[in-house]
Amino acid sequence: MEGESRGPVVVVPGEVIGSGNYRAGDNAVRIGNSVVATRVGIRRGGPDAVSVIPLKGFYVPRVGDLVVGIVCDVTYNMWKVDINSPYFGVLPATDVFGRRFDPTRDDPLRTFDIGTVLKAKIVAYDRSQDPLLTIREPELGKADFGFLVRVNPAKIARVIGRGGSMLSKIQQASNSRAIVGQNGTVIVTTNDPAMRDKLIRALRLIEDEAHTYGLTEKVVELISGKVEGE
Amino acid sequence: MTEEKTKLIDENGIRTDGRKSDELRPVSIELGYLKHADGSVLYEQGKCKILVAVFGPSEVHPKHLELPDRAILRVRYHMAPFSVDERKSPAPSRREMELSMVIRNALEPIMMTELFPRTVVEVFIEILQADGGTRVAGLTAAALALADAGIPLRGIVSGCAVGKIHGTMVLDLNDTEDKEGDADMPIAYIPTMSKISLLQMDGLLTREEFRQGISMAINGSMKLYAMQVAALKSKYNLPEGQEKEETQ
Repeated sequence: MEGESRGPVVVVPGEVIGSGNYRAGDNAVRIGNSVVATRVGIRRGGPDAVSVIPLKGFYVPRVGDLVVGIVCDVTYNMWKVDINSPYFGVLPATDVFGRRFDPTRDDPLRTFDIGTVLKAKIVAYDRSQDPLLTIREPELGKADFGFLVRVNPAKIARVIGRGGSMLSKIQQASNSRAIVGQNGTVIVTTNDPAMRDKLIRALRLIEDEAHTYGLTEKVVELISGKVEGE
Repeated sequence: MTEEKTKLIDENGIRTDGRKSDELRPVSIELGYLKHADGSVLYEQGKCKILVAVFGPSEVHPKHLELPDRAILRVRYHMAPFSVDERKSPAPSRREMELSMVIRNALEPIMMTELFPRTVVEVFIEILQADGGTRVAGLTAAALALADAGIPLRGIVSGCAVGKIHGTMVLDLNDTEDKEGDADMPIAYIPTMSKISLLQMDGLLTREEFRQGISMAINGSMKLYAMQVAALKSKYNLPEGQEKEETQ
């Protein structure tokens, strides 16, 4: 098929990316006998399906995703969490208290006030209902330290890298810890203020050049001192 | 007293701004022009300058307007007070409200609203400088801004107007041609779906002129489509030599 042997091909919505027996993968749709792209992105062809890796986009919740969210509303039995998506996450009080919830004894506002940063997992979601969150797993819950960086959710895969390679290299080079939410929110913990700025720039670099090669080296170079443009 | 009409096209078929009858005005596209919008574009076509910003999908307010099975699309077409010769009141006029609706209807066929129900996608079309054909230019720019925002689309819509001046069918009318010409017909076309998503007409055309106009507008839209695609691709252009790297 045309374009099969070439390098990364940037496609635009409506562009035919496969014809015949190909299945429409992510960000692609079948119109008649052709599979067309629905977003600006890089075409990825598999043995039976063809898909598009978007270069920009918004976060659509998926069951099992780790997300970093900010509490934006508290009701008597649940927290509404902004997870950087068109839909708000819902964290029920029963999940946090781990038992039958008693409004006379339990005060949700005292547990997580508005503005609290939470690390949570999505346990249930379909498009007819808001995503249901849980914090009942190790490492989940309130984030007490660090700073937040928002990256376009389409670029999160690149921040993590294949098998977590980019993330572990960033953490090693900067001697910091990063928790990457699939929703494009990253919590970075470091004691060094200079490193903080470098890490923000490194994340911006990944965001801007996610579709290019040799990015890991560039990021490590930026963090370890040889800063470009200074 | 009779007012003498301006000569809009000469005997060689050259128009007041030096274009041929089937020639578009020069187009310039700057994607991602605004920092805070999810998708944006500064679009210029001749003397028309249009800024489009897209937000969403996001939560619908007021809540009762949300739809359980699909997203809603909100479009605001607005002319800046300084966009025309005489100051235009910044309040939305009847014409602007109609054009907002017309543009929304023309964008809906490319939107995949069923993918993100209970949300809203907002498109703000701000006409900074008007010189004829702003509804179709605004629509062309809106499609670009939607693609720039990463919103799933079935295709890209492109539009341009055709009209009749002194008995000749011409493409992409400017303000003078629009006002003093005999007819004006804005058309939007979705090249990848081979569908017309907007067709309006003001003035009188014969059947033959109408057919000719449609085919001229489709040709013009195809040229605009090629420019839209090139602009979207060049925003994410891979640095020199990188494509070769993977071919080896």
